Amino acid sequence: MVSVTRKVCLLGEFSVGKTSIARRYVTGTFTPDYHATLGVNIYKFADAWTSEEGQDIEANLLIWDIEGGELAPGLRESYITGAAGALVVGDISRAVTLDAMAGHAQMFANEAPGRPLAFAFNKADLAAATETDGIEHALAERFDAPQRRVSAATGDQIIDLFRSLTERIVRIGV
Amino acid sequence: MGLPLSIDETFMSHIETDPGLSNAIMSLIQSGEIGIVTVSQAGVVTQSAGVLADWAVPGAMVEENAPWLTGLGDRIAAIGTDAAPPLRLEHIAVLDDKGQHDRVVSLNAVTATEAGATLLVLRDATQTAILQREVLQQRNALALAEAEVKAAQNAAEAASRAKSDFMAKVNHELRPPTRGPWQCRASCYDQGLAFG
Repeated sequence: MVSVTRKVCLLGEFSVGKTSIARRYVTGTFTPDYHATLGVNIYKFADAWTSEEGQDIEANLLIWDIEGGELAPGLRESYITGAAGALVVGDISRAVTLDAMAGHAQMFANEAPGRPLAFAFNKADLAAATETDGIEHALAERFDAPQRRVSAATGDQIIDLFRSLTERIVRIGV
Repeated sequence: MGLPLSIDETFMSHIETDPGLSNAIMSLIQSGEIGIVTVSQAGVVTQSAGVLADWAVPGAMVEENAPWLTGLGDRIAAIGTDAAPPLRLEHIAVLDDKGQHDRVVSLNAVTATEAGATLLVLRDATQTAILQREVLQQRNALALAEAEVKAAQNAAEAASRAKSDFMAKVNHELRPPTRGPWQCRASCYDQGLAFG
């Protein structure tokens, strides 16, 4: 049994669903109301699986749900310090949030070089979801990272995407 | 909330040498508004004071003391050696299994007066966080509403442009083909032929 404890950050513009994704993953619940996150909410979650090599792995995640939008200079970088990986979230019903995903990912890559990223294109359940013009594949290729269309409302693909990110963190050993 | 841990003069000397300020800091620690932790160059908690710091057990690694400091141990220890700049973390809330929290804390990690040591200053930000979160909520809601209005305005302008383009095109497409019959009709009138 391998047991690790790691910090993972949730990054993205405000109101893209970072908190909803964290809550869906950790508590299995969802509420449609928007509640802005101030600073950081830290969730604890333990995941366990058996690797392809047959090794039992337990990953204790400290999920840092970080305030979206504009922050004081340097504060977001401080929040990222010590993270083993990050999930960058966008809202597919608001194109401007998708355009911002690359900036969040690059900022994380600068602060934590070589540490895994994953991309969540949230609100896939909404009828108003816009065309993403292939941005998913472009980001996945540029940052060598997994990406999924997810829904915090239905829970679709969220566990799968977190697992994919956590497996990379454990495999790389950061 | 437990009682403040013991605070001796040696500990206070790591924080502030001015006697007046030391008294003020002591008062804040005892009132529960701030907590103080010193961390050695090796990343070990050496002393702690105040209810906000009761998680920091002297003798253990700072990172192992508190799960929310996972990944930050080396960074914090490096601050005391001047190898890293101060660290500021505002409004940190650790949530339980139900997604609830009881306190919001802000942390500043700075160089202590003792060589090689880092000083963690924790401040209870629970009350200010309630107000600031409300302001943030309003600001974000306003920004979302503005974005929706702008999107609706852009859609309306696009529809208006499409209508103008359509009318211009229809006008052009209809007028040239009908010009011949109209000219023929006018010519008939000129020659004294009547219709109907």
